Amino acid sequence: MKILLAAALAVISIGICTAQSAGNPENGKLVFIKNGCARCHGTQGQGGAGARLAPNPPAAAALIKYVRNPSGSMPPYKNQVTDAELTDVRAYLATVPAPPPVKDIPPLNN
Amino acid sequence: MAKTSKISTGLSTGRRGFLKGAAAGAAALVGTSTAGAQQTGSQPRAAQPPSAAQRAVETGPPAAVEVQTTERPGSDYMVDVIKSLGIEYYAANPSSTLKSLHESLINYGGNQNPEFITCTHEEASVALANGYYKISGKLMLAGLHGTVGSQHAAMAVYNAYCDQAPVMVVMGNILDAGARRSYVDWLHSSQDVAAILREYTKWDDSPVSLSHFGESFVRAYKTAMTPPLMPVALVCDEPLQESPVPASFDRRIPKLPVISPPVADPNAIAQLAKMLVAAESPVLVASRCARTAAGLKSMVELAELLQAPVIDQHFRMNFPSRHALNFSDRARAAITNADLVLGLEVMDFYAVLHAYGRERDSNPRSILKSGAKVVTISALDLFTKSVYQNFQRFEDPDMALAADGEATLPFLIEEVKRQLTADRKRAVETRGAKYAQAWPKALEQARVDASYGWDASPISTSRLSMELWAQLKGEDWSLVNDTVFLQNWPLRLWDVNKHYQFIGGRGGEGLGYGPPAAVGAALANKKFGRLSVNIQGDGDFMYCPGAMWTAAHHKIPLLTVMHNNRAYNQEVMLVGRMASEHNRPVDRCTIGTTLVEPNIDYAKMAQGMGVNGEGPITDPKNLAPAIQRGIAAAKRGEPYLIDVVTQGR
Repeated sequence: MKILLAAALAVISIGICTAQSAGNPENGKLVFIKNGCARCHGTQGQGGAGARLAPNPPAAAALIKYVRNPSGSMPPYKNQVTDAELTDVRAYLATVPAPPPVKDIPPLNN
Repeated sequence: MAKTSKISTGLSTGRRGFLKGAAAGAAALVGTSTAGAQQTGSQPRAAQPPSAAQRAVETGPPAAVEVQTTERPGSDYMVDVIKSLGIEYYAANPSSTLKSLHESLINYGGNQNPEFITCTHEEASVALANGYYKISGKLMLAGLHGTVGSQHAAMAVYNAYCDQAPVMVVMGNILDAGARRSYVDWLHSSQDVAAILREYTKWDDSPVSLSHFGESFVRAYKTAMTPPLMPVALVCDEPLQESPVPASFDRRIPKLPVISPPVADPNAIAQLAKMLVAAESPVLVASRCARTAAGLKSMVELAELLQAPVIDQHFRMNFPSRHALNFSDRARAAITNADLVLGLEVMDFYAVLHAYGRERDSNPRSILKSGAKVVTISALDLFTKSVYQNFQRFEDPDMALAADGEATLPFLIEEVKRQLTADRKRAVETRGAKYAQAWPKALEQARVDASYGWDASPISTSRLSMELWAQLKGEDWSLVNDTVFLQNWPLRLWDVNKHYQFIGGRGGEGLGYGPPAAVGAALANKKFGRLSVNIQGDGDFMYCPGAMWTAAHHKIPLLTVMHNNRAYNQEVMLVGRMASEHNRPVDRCTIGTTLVEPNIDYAKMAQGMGVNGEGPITDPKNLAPAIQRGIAAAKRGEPYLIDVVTQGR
């Protein structure tokens, strides 16, 4: 019985962790816009004055680590956003679809 | 100069004018008297003895007669001088201190060569002249009203000064305190009005006679049009304009010489050619080198002769965007690989050659290879001032040729040709093949980069740029504003290969340039039937929106496409950076930096000034048809504005 309970708790725990690490994309988008990330990186993380972040954003841990201690011209975000919010941001960026191939975008083929 | 006398109306006249006026006045008195007699009765009456007043007229000393006309004002001669130089336009907001010149231009001068271009702000007048020069290569006059107009214009003069763009400003003033009539005259006058602009003009003068005016005007023109090209200022004294041309004045107009720009010393050119031929990886960097078709051709010829990558810093059209040697997007790779870097009229060479770290980095590191040489050719070495720091950080060159870049290039090309041996030609061909192979990949990568966020709303700057290009590519077009806030997409992906297809932006990076400079450039393009296009930032637009009215009033075809990110986006980012660095909330950094609540309706603004406009467009699918409508309007000779809501950059 104890073994079963422990196993069940482990499953629940893993589920929670997975949910946390996956993050909430809707909230992530709000955080991304509200904190000015989109001003440099674009509302879809497509890049602009800042680097391109989406699609295929970095893993949450790497993103959080970089945001806390960035290099180059990226300013540091120490306590303006929580790790959970950054995880949400990562989740939002992961929802951004890849653009169509260039050959399928007529204005890019002139 | 003959003495002039002031009379109570404020008009002045010389002796000849006085006598002529006195005769006219007497005739008027007689006429009045006769008319009066005819009205007093229908029956003939016996002669009456003269009244006391009539006796006084007949027997007393002649009365001082108020002369109210000056048929040959000094400003007519000023117009003769202006016309002698072939100046096509005079851009100005009307001015009381320039009213006589204004009247002479439109009546005596027939409002042709120059034609009066009505502006709604003196900053717009000068920016208009700045943009006009960069397309036409010609100097435009801008009229500034005394102290106030000159202060309004100051930013645009500084922009032109930093932009190596010649503009001549004519500054109204009343130097003679005795000639000032109201408190306004005092407020708008100065003992040295040109001092307002002196630190960022190449030359100025305050003529006190018409002969002095003629000489100084031609000198100012010559000075402005001799590299380094810069604005000049000429004070136009109000009494000098309004007083009659003295009878003794011969109305001579000094002739303008053929202007030969300064070319570098032949020995220095030979030495530089030797270095370029011997270099394994020479790189050319250009900011404002090519200003004509010939200059652009020379840039291409030198680059191809050496198979040297070119970094175009986009202050002019220095190099074709789709040339295999265009390394503007790969500048750092080119510089780190270079053993010789030649800077041609470069604005901030130090920044090209160094890597800056974080903000306020006072110790940037050189990215040059050990032993790499640096050479500059710049006319700015011939003229440096102290107060304003536009000369940038010292670039520490190995050799500096003080000369005009464009004028020196043909001589450098000939010398390189002379020194290229068969061995060196083979080496040049080898590196050229390498660059030619890399180019298609670089172009394809830029296209892939542009595809990200393609369907985003607000609309991406790449989508905006490429939807525009899709409609423009078959036209004879001219992009008449900067692209830096668009991530330079047009210069990365459009086929830009003519000197008039791109003219750079604000020389001093001061806002208020875009709309009027675009109108000036479009005015210059009009006679060639070119389609002028301005991708216009919203923050800059709000400084000088009145330029839209000028375009409508003068029927100047221009397609304005708003890059409306509803913010001073750079400042949103910068203030956000401060909040981050200070460990404080970033979400409040839209305070004072955004243009929302309410959103500005640029289409309505345009419509209010007689320019057809549409938008705001937020769905990228609506861009193409709007652009088609805009191009059709411009081709009909009309200005048109499309408001596009865009990403920050």
